[in-house]
Amino acid sequence: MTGQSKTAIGKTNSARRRRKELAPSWLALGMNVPTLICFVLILAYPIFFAGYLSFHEVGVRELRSGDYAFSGLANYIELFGDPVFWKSLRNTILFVVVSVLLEVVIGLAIALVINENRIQLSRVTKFLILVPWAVPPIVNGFLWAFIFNTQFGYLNRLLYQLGLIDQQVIWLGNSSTAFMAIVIAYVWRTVPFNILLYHAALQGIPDHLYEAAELDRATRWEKFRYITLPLLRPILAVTLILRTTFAFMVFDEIFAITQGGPGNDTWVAAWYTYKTSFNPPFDIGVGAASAYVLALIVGVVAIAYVRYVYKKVEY
Amino acid sequence: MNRMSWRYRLGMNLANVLAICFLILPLVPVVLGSLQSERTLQEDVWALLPAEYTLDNFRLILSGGTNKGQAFQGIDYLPNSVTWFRNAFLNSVLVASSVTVLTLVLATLTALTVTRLKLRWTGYLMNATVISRMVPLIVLMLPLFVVMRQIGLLNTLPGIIMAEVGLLLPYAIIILVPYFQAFPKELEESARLDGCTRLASYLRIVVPLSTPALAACGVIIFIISWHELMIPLIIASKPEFMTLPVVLAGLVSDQFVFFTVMMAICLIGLAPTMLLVLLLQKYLVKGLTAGAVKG
Amino acid sequence: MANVSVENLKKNYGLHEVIHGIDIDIGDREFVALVGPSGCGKSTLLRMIAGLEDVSGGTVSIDEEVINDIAPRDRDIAMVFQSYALYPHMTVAQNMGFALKLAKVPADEIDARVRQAAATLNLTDYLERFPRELSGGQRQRVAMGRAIVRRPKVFLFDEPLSNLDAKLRVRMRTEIKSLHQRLGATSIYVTHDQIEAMTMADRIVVMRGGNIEQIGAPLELYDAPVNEFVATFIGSPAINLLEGVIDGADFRLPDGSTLPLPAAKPGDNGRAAKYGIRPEHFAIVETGAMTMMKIDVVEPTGNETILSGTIGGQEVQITQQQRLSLAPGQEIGVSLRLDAVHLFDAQSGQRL
Repeated sequence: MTGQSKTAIGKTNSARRRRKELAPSWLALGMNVPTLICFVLILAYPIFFAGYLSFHEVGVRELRSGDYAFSGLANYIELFGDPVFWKSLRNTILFVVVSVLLEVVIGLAIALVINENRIQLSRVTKFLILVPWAVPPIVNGFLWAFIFNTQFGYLNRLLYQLGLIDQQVIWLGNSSTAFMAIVIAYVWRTVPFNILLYHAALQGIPDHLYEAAELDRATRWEKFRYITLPLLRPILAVTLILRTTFAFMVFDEIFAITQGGPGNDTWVAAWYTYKTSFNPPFDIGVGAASAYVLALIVGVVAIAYVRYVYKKVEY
Repeated sequence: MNRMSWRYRLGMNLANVLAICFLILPLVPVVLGSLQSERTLQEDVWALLPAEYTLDNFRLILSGGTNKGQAFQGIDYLPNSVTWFRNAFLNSVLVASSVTVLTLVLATLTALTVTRLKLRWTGYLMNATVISRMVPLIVLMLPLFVVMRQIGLLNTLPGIIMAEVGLLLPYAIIILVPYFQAFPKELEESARLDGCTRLASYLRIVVPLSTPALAACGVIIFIISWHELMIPLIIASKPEFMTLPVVLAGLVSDQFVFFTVMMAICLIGLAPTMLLVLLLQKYLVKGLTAGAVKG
Repeated sequence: MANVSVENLKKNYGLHEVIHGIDIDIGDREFVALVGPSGCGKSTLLRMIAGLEDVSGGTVSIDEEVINDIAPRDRDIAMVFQSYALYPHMTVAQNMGFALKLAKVPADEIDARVRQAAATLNLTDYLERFPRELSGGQRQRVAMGRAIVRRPKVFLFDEPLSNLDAKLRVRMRTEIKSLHQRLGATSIYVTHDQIEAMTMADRIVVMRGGNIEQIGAPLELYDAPVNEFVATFIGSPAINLLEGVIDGADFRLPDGSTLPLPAAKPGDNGRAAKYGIRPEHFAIVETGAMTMMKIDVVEPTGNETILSGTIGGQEVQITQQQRLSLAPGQEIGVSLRLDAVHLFDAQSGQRL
């Protein structure tokens, strides 16, 4: 080289044993061992085991003895014969439709508001969008339970102060208002997620599209209708499917606000499984059957998501 | 687009005020509720602001029920949530931290193989990850309950931690994958020519350069773990193993008697994650957006 | 230093073969450029030598030792990437010393070698800076420095200059060449820019579609291209190719006009061919013109004038070393340097 001592790296290298490189597939396997164990033990195996349980008699006695008698379709027959199950399923679907629609509409509205960065106040709003997400779901439930409480709740206090009511409204004792209360509580907590996505998508729309539309004399509404909305379509598809699968699993708010009440008017699928399995008479077999029905419904949505949406949306 | 009419400006400002109300107004009753005594709350059922403020609720909770102050003078029955509050808070810290560290390590290793090695089966693994993110938790909880009961993990913190790692691992992978994907492969290749093995090039180059992403992902996992109710609710039935959400859930039967205490517990329960969210807002938005589209 | 040889090297992705069994021998201290249009396999070949891509067939060896299965880190090869691939979280000094650190070279020796390399590349003042604080040209130097501190057996360059602006590119070209002359290290340089290849390399490998079209010294490729592809790829403005038929001692263009042939080959009579002649091998003459050219566009560049137009209805470009005042539409008489005429088969493109 440049006349200096010849301790090139090559010397140390040739002293070092020359190794064949670990094949990528082995490296990948090695790096994935913990994750694969985790997936198998905590995801795959339980899913199959839940199926197994749903065909067996599993109650308190069986849990103690550890052997579950095969019961064929008995659990499913019991499940499908239970009017409360059908009611829970109907409630779940109604809940999913109403709350997902609200999430999308409110999320999009707030995303559009914070996207206008020339208004100073938008920055404050933007800073606060994650606030509801930071509230633990169970706290969120209690917080709304307190708001909707008949005697001491803040909704009645506020409406009274505004002069809209003169006696206390029993919000949670009436099935339709109780249902509405759960929807509101749930939607409040999940809207931030939608805002985030729509905001990111709006930021991704290049300004020059709006400038071009401006030159074409488009009004504000026309710009929204012909530029913003079509370009948001992929993300709307993503959120619709994603939020649908999550809304199917609503549990914490039901637990805290109504416990399924009044009567069983606000039972949903996850609550049905929980109540059947972990409350007297502890019928885990039927619980597993109902969980499986829920999983199948969500599974169809999930597979559709991966096949048609996940791969196509680039971010 | 350059000039805004005053009507547009006014409209947008109003819309912002509405949005801000939507975002923070529901939290006001929590604060107001926690700062008054049960008696004040019940005396005037129409007042928005309490006649008298007190910190007795917080004193009671933080002392584990021993410091009853004025408001709870002469009350003998206290809900479990009060007596076990400190223990549950500690459990929550322990569980959420362990879950965060474990999940982050496993997710990093897997996300690296998915994005940097690009084998066919790691692609399938990624698909499985995305699907498993959508499996209803209740489906997993039944068999996990049965299995953990058999192997003695029911009513243990490791049992809770394992189940939460399983639940959150797919999400963490989904959050990290887009970050690692965007990472230029030349850096890793250059390190390999400089004398690193593949794995060493990830650990010395890719991982240190991804600290913002890893931190964001870690905070998101911590928050979700802190919020998790169903897993510890089903696995821990003894108060000494309950996390904060479970202890809170125990209030459900006492809520009509202890509204103000409940609101105080709620406030302390939401404070840590609220602080994290407000302090790290910018990073979290990035992390959540990355993980959101693809998960 | 070392010699590198590649024998019957193949690469396929699944069923799709992208490199079809190529052979190259690179001598010790030689500077070889791999050129070709994008997708010709030149970068893949370089990455296979580096060990960043698997070898599907054939062998890569350094100093007669087959290295197909040896990990990149044990090949003792340094590479300069198009994006430079500087580690953003390390200072210039750390970047340059990283390989030595991994090889467990003592710290004081790393420091000495980094300083020496930095001095060679005028980077001494920047050693404590981070890559983001450097200009494009400086980053490029750091990438070079990182390679030379290692004193590897072989240097690989993957389009190292294409991210620089035109002026800097020319300067770095000279610098890399003088560096090579001083260090004398075996170097393999991938570029799509034929001028870079021509000016820097001892030998050039022209590739297309995963095959080697020709290997040779720069002027050899310029003066004796083996086929139409090499002829058009090397040289700018590109060689003129006129279609026609060999007709005895003449080359007959479709419009009936003829161009003279250097030496008629009897067997080629009547064959459809392309008549190749480089732009500078034309002379404008008053008398004794071999053919007439109709001028369309006149482009003066200062040191020469580029004339575009048609001969026998086919487009040609010629360059002249003097300044000319010609008007579009004008017809001029030109003569050709017959010893510089190349004939290519119309179908195969091979030289006749």
